[in-house]
Amino acid sequence: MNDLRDLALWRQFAAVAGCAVVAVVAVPAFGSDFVIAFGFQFVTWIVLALSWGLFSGNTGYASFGHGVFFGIGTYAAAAVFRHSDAPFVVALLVAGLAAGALALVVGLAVFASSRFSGDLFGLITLAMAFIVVTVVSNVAFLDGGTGVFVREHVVGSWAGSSTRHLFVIAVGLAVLTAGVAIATSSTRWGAALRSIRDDEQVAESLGVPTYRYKVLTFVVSAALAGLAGAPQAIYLGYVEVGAVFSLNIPLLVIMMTILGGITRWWGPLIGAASVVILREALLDLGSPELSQIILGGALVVVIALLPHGVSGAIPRRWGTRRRTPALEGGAR
Amino acid sequence: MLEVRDLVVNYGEAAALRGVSLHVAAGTTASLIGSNGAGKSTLVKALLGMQPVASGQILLEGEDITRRSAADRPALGMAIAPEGRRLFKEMTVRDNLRLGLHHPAARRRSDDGIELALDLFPILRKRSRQLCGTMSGGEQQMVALGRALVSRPRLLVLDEPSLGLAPIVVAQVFDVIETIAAQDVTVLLAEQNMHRALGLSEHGYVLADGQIVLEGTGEELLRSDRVRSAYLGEQ
Repeated sequence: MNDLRDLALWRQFAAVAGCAVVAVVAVPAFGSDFVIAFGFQFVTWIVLALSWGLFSGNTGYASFGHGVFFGIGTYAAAAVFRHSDAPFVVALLVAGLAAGALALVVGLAVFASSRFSGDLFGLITLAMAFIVVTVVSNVAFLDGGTGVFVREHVVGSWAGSSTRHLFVIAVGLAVLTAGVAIATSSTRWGAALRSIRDDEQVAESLGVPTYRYKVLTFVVSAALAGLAGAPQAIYLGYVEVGAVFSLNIPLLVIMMTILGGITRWWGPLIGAASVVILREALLDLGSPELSQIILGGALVVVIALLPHGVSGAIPRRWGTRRRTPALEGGAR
Repeated sequence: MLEVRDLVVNYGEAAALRGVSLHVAAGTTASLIGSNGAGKSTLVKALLGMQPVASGQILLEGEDITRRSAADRPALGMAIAPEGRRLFKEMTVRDNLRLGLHHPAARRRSDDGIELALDLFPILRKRSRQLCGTMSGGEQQMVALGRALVSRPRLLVLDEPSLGLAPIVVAQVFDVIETIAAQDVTVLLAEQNMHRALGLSEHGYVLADGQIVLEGTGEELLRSDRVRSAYLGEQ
């Protein structure tokens, strides 16, 4: 639990920024259209996995509603493009604000009662997804059941002209999300979140304002997912409820985080990479069902062999002493 | 320092505390003794704002803190080492100690609190990067006491600090409590080990079935036939 003056923290920030610069320069320059499109999806999954880990991984409140925040961001951006000539950056901000606002309303209500912790919280976020899908489907301003063609509204704009640009935007969002994840891994804020996961009552008795921390982090996590929805709207070209709010999205995000582990901030990043690459490789099988079975089987194997995910199995360089490897946890 | 007036706590329909009143003078140590299920931990939780109070008052230096949240307690100068230690086992010793200084008021009061705890428990200095879940029960108790002390509390509440520890470790823990008590910290000690608890307390309260049934100085209670027969099993 260091603070932002810690050099190690800034080294991690620098490493992330360095990787991002290399990706932004190399992928559009040398990659084919397929590689760039794959890269865009890959980085978007990283944003979703890291932002889910930020709240759910740190606090232990498993949310099944992360796909909703991503979807709200997608629809909010689509609505901006459809109803105005505002530039992309406006759509991006509206996407993040819309997702953050929804999380604020849900968080303020749900976290006010200790009854809605654990499994109940997961069910509430699932219920939230159904409500949002119904509302979006029936509000003409957003969708109204017909879907929205986004491409036709962004033709000629910088962000709409090329997947290369969307890739650069997605990398920028990934850097932002990783920066927040790094900050929570080593600061008082992150320690407070992990204390909530370990023993919320004791955390409160130590002066951790658990309600405030949960609401704030839930909002930040949702806003980051919402931001990722803006380039996604353009990438998809046509936005419709079934695809945007698919239950597969939060389930895959959770799977990525479990695979990668939550003991280190970069665990979800490893998980996202593993799942995205495995899914792509399994496409050659020609059977989506078989791919799903293999993907699910891989998750079961990882959980059985590496209960703390891939990142939890990698020894730490600096001697945090540990006698029993089973006792792990907390992003750092 | 601490005054409790007619405190009532219920668990649903069941009364856990039925009109408990007690007083702990500043700079003294008071023990709260009683058998399992007497209501000691419930009283401690209520004092720390971790358990809703049905009626009654908790006053700290005259200020009514009954309805203040648990997260406010460190600002008021209260700290607890809870029953069963309840450390953040997946964090290091140092991170556990730092969480004892999470509240800004605690940091203002005690910017060198971590060093204070490490001086009191030198073994923790060597183990500062060790995960608490990998430590022995005695070492964990040291961390729990250290975490409560880093904020230099005015009132330290210790809930069953000897629970589940080997006799030699219990002796060490009580030695440490004695050291703390000698430093003008007000201590409220909820404990089943009555000989040791009453031995270092100026005042003691015997709790049974959610009520204070006996009180007196530590020496008086240790000599009391009623206490000895009821709780120490002596004839």
